[in-house]
This record gives sequence, structure tokens and C-alpha cells, in this order.
Amino acid sequence: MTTVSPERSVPINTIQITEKAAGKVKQFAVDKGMDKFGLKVAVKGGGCSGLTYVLEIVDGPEADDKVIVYHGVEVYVPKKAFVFLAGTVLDFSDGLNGKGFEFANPNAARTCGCGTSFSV
Amino acid sequence: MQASSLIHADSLQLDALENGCGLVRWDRATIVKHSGPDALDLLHRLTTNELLAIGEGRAQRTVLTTDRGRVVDVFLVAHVSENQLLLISDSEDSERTISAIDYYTIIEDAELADLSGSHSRFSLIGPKASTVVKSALGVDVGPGQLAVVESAGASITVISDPSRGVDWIDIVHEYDAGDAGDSIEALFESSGIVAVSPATFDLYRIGRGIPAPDREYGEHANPIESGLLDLIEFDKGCYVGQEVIARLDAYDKVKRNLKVLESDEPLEAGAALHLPGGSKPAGTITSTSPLTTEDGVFLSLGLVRKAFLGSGTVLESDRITLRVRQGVFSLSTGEM
Repeated sequence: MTTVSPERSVPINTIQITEKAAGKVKQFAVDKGMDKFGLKVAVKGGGCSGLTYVLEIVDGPEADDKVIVYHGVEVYVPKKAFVFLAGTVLDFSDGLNGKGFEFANPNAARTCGCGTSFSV
Repeated sequence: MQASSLIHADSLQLDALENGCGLVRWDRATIVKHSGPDALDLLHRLTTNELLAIGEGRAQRTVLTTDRGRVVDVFLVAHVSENQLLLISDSEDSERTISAIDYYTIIEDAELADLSGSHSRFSLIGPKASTVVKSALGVDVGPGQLAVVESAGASITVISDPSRGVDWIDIVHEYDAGDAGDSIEALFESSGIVAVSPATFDLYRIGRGIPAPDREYGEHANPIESGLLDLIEFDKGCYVGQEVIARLDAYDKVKRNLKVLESDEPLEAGAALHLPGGSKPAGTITSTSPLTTEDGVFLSLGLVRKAFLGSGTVLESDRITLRVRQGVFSLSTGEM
């Protein structure tokens, strides 16, 4: 999981996942034997830069989650985390040099070396 | 300055701090209740020290830094009971600490409550502190341990904190309950302790090189140069500011050290330090005391550039000559 600079314009009232990332999420869910699933995308305190991304495949949203659907995958974002993620694109990078899931977060003013945390 | 105008520190109070037990009252201190199943894990992810290992009944002091490695606050995390923590800081600005932790509380199940206005804190300092606590409250509290006892009609939290390099026990209790506060202090006073004035405590603190908020540490300094190295666990993994602090340490990039300064005249906090003759800047004075030791020496603390540190280093500030002391010594006996 890492952070990259946003390469394209994304409406700031949503977050997007690319088709490749959505496909990877579906693959993980199938591997886990889940019929009903969604991707929880959140932020928690911690990490070198203060805020750390959270990615988790879950079986449904929580009460306060914002629900967004892209490429057949439901994305659940806790309301308090959304302010840090608005406008983000979630991609997946594979291959020998791949880094796994990548966040292009326009709110991230600074990221740590390993890319798992950021500050705004 | 003429010797006759020197104000010596109270020798009885200094002796209690050095050889017995002194009671230091905190008129204002940060006392915060941090509760919830995620509270300890959150603080572990945010601050410099290893906190997941402290079980119930134990305490550990830690540093909250910015993402650029500057100090926000230093506080004691007391694991009082399951999902209940007490955070205690020497800072008078509880709002700064609370808002910093609250900013990072996003999906965590944790709540903060400021008890600074409703609770009182005093500290028992000196080699006989734990003996005094046992005599007054009937509890043994070893280094890094805490106990909650009911006495004088109040619930009293007793926490031993060895992180300043001296015997130090914090006592926290709720204000109200009529005369309960006075009764609690009276419990200890009958055990032979000596009440220490803020000025005498400050001289003791300076002589021991114990850093204080908004003087030695704050957003003007990183925790390594501020004398807080022992509160940093370098093997714990990520926390806010970890990348910067690890780099400072690994590449020896810390440019200043906290040092005790001796002079024959009083210095001014915030004043610049220079090499003799005012040739090169050598640091900043962070704390001073109007009191002197028994032999008429004024003590100060300063962040001194490492390049100019050496045994017997002599510096100047506003044309006053001062010496950089190596190590700490007893203020009451004058012995190293």
C-alpha cells in the first residue's frame, strides 16, 4: 500500500477505485469465500506522518459509513475519515515492481517514506 | 552582583528533595481521562514510547510529537483499569494535548475528558517518597506502578514515575469533597515531608537537568535535544514524527544538547548563548532561577550547540560568563 500523486481529476465529494483495484478486491473476496462484501477505506491516527490508511474487506457497511459503488464494488468510508480521503483514487499496482494498493490522495500534503501514512 | 543580595534556595526544602521527601503542588497541570477500547492502542501509534506493554496498574511516560518531530507534549500514561487511562502532563495547556490527540481520533473507539479543572495533582519527590506513601496510604508502589486507594473520603490515584531519573510519585485526586484535598495533603505532612515552593523546585529541576514544557521542550525543539531520549523507543515502529526522529538519531543530526549552566550572575531565559567575545552563536537559555545554591552559584538550563560542548566549556550570554556543567550534582550537598 502506498501513496502517489493524483494523476487525474476526481470530484472532491467522492473517492474512486480503478477497475484494476476493483478486480483485485473481488478476487480477494472470492479467495476468502465471501458472497457479500465491500471494501472499507478509512484513516486512523498513527504512522510517521500522523494518518494511516486502512483497507479491509468487510461484509457490509457500518451505520455512519458513506457508501460508494465503483466497478461493481461497494466502498464504505466512515464519515470522519471521508474528510481526509475526498477526491482520492485507489489503484492497484502489480508485477515485480508493483506496490499493491496505491492511494492518490489530493489531501496528502506530506507522506512518509514507505507511503503508508500521510499528513494534511 | 553583591553577595549580600543573593537569595539562597531554602536548604531544608532542597535537602528534602535530595535526601528525604518534598511535596510539590501543581497549581495547574494537565490531567485527562482517556477511555475506550482503542485508547491505549491509539496512544501507542501516536507517541514515542512503547505503550502496549503497560498492563493495568502500570504507567509509562511518552512524548507526542508533530509529524516533523517537534514536541507537542510529554505525558504520563497511567493504565488505571480496563479501557481507562489517565494522562498527566506538567503542561498547563491541557487543550493543546487534548486537541492533538483528538485530531488523530478518527475511527477509534476512544474518548477524552479534561479533568484538569476538577482534579488536583501534587508530587512527592525524593528517595523517601515511596516510604512516605506506604506510611500514609498503606500501599507499596514500585517504579512504573500505580494504585488507586480510598482515603480521607476521596479516591486517590498514586503513580510512581521513574522517568525523570529521580524518585517521583504523582498523587491525583478530585478537588471537591469539601476539605478532602486538605485532608489528603495532611496525611502526607504527618509523615514528615516538607512542602517545597515552586521557586525551590524549579532550582532543583534545573540542577537535575529535568526538562519542562514550553521551556526545554515544545515545538521549538525535538525530543532528543530536549533531554527526552529515554522516552523514545527506537524499535517500536511507526508513530507520528518517527521518520524524522529516527533520521536525527541514525545520522547523528541532533545539533543541540540540554545542559546545566553555572554563572555568578543571573541569566535571562530566552537569551542567546555565544562563544566568549560574542563571536559565534552557541545556543539558547531555556530556564533560569533567581535563587542560588549554597555557594552562591546561579543555575540555568540551555540548549547548547554540540559543536561547542566539551568538558569545562565557557560561554557568554549578555556579556555574562557561564560554565557548561557536565553531569548533575546534589544541590544540598554540592557533591557530584
